[in-house]
Amino acid sequence: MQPPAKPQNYALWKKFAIDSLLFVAFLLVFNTHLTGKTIHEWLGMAMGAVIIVHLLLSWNWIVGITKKFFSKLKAATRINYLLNLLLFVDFTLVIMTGILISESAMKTLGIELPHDEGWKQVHLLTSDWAIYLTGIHLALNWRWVIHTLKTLIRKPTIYLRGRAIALAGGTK
Amino acid sequence: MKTLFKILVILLSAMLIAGAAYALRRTDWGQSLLAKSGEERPEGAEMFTDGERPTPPDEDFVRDSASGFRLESLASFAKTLIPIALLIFMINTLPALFQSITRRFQRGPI
Repeated sequence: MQPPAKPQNYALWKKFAIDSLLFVAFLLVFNTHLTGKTIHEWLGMAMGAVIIVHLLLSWNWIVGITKKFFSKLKAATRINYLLNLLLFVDFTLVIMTGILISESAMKTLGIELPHDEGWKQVHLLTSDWAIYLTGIHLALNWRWVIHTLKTLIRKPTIYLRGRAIALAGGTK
Repeated sequence: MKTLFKILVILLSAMLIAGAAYALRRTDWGQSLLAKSGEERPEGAEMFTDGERPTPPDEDFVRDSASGFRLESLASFAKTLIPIALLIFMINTLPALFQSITRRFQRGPI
């Protein structure tokens, strides 16, 4: 029996859903007043996992640009690549320092870390940068966001029909 | 297998960055840099010694409803969303606006 065919918009839906989830988590994680420290810490670490998925979905672009970086490439693409690299470094630092200054999540896991005010400074500083870098990242990919949103609103049935066929075990 | 390899590459890169940051933090230069940024950090940021910590705002001011909703939460959302929205607007709209204005002036008076 043949495996069910993937719906036409499946990859786009998956990428858009992951990116939306990441953005909502980003907004929540920056709102410690609303979530409280414990949720802030767990959500921050969970965001790390979603960032990995986000990177996996953009893997072909990352590898393609890395290979071509020193050859012929549009300036805008080069800037976008460098910005993404900076964003990756920044988020790594935010999550790493977040773990190091964690007050409840690490304790729950049975790990006691010494209090270090220096790491807290780095955490606050890199968090501030993360807002601006994410803003620029979103702005540079804004056309993709709008285009994808339009496509998914206009043609949602392609995905839904595909899912229904796949669930029924058909081959489409 | 391929995905596992990709995940390992991402985790290894993150560990390299974290390791470099950790090593840098241990150097004299890293420590002096942190001390400096601590001095420069404006008041209102979440970093005070016990003596410097400002008094929290009046409960009536921050509480918006009997359910305990805090205006601070809304302000916190705005603090994140406004810079992002401004950056999206600036990067996507201003160049086009600037281009249309310069084109208009190149055409001369109506």
